[in-house]
Amino acid sequence: MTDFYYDYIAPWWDLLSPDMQDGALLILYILPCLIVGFVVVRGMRPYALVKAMLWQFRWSNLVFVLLIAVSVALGVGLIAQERGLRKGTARAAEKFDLVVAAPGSELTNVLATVYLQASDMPLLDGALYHRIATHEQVDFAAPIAFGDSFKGAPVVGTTITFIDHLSGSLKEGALFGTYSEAVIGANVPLSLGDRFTPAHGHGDGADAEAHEGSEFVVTGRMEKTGSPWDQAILVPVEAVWMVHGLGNGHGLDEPSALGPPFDPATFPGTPSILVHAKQLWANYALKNAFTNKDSMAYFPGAVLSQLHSVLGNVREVMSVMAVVTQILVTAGVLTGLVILTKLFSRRLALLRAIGAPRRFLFSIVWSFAAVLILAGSALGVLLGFATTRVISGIVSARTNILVEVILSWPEFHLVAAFVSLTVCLAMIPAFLALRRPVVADLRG
Amino acid sequence: MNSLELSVQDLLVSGERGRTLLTVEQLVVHPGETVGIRGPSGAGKSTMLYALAGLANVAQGQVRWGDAELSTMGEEARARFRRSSVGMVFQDFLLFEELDAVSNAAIATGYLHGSRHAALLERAQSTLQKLNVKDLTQRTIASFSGGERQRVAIARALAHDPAVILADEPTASLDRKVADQLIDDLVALVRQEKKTLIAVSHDHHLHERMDRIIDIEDGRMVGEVRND
Ligand SMILES: Nc1ncnc2c1ncn2[C@@H]1O[C@H](COP(=O)(O)OP(=O)(O)OP(=O)(O)O)[C@@H](O)[C@H]1O
Ligand SMILES: [Mg+2]
Repeated sequence: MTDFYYDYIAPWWDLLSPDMQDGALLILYILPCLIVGFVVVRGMRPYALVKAMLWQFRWSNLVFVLLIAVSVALGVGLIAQERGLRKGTARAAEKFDLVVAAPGSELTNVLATVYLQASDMPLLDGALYHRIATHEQVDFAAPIAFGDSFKGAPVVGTTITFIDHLSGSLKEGALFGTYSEAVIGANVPLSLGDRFTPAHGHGDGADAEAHEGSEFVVTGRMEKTGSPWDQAILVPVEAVWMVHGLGNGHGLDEPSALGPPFDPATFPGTPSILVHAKQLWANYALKNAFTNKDSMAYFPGAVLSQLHSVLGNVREVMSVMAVVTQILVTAGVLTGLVILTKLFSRRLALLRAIGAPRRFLFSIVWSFAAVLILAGSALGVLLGFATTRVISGIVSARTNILVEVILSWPEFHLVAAFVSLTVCLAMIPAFLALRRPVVADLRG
Repeated sequence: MNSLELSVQDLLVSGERGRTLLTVEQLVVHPGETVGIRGPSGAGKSTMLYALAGLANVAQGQVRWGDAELSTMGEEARARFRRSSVGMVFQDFLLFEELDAVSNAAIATGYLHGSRHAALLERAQSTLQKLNVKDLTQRTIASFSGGERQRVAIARALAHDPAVILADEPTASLDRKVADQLIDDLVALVRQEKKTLIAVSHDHHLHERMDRIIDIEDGRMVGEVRND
């Protein structure tokens, strides 16, 4: 079997584009349904009677369709949701090639640095920053100093190089040029020219008075990034140090210097440093160079892919549950159809009595079931798509991680396989309908 | 053109647990003959019709229509025989409430070969018109009266142009006037096309119009009377 595959199928298969492969798989999955449909209905015209049956049992049918729809939606939604989350979180981390932080949990640091879920972090000192910033393979090293907030929006101290890296050009306004200016993320509910005073800390524990007297004015707004940074307020890292009474990190003779280089002696510290290498291949060397007892360097992308594999495992477990649900629902619906067919048995007996072939009865009952299955599955795809959109919308609103929902091949493969399987199973009530005694059913 | 002669020999129909429902020693019905079947309730009249149609469980004996010996044929072959040669009318119509008159009368378009659809539809329509059924396609059977339903049921039995009509109480639920009209129409249609009609009924108006009357009592065919 595997030999046959490698000898005869693989060479052709590999010639197809991924989309064509997926399309071919879809056809393969739906093929049993089409074949059964063709064989069962060929030469018969059961539609009027199927319609009669659909109408006669419309409320039960509606319940069956909804049950199927919900179980299909569960499977479809799970796949689409997981992919959306995976892609959304990956997109949000895209710009963070290499991060250096104090030794500790990479995950905690990713959450704090990339996704701006604040937590207290030990600081890296000026000497380390200096070594990183002046490394020959480093294009730029941007301090990322989080900890303050304004009305729930994290206030992050950094450099204009980082803003440039994150947003490219600004959507409106200008970069900050003094310690009292700020650039806001695309979704921050402030306008250019607005003034604010950050609070120390985040959320309910934030101390609104701690930084009294230090006021910022908004001078620019970044482009949308689809990441939590859309909700962040970016200020000069020097300003963050200053409002905490730590000096500006430059020489005493430079009271208003902005951005690197900093003075290693007066550098107050930063919880994270984003490192951008001159060349992609240098990243590994940089990671090794700055992983030691004083600091850790890590790829957020790698941390994320570990998270994604957990997410994938969760999805797999839930997929099994979704499949079990689908099987249970299918079994329930088919049992229901057997009962409905019993209610219809007098009409079916009549058809037998006036000479209709068995295949005609078979095609009526099967088509009836197939219509319910197809309607339920189609509705399920829509329902799955809609719920995924709603959930993603909520996730996006809460985290600012842009979770896009699109339906893709795996969902359609799932639905096609489900339809094919259940449509084959739908032959069971059809067979049972044929086994009923004609005369007894005729007498009612 | 109708050449199906019925010949029943030593027939024994059994029901559940082997109970004998009907015995007929001998019965011959010539093509084009009209025969009434009468007898008390529960005597076995419907059972007789089911046996003649190849639907009942024949334990012994023969039911032969022309060359077709039903008791030796498989179920599917008997169904084929019915759809080519037998039209059946049931006591309580057994129509599809959700369909209109023509769709009911031409129900066989669902399973007969496409080449026969046009003729079938035309016969269904013309029979419905002959039987004075209005609103052939405008409303569903659900809104039809008992008399109208009975006519649609008869049109369905005739639509595929069978040689034999087997009717079970075709006038049972009708008032006298409507019943008489229906008997007139049915007999006229059957005689005009030289079809064999075998009709179970309690209605002596119907029996008066038949060539022959068969009496069934207590699961036995006990005799027959010939009308002049
Ligand atoms: N499937 C069956 N198994 C056992 N007995 C049956 C079955 N069907 C009918 N019977 C019995 O067979 C007998 C004949 O029934 P049948 O329906 O032929 O009577 P009938 O003469 O048509 O009566 P009616 O005038 O009330 O329609 C009845 O006693 C009935 O209860
Ligand atoms: Mg009866």
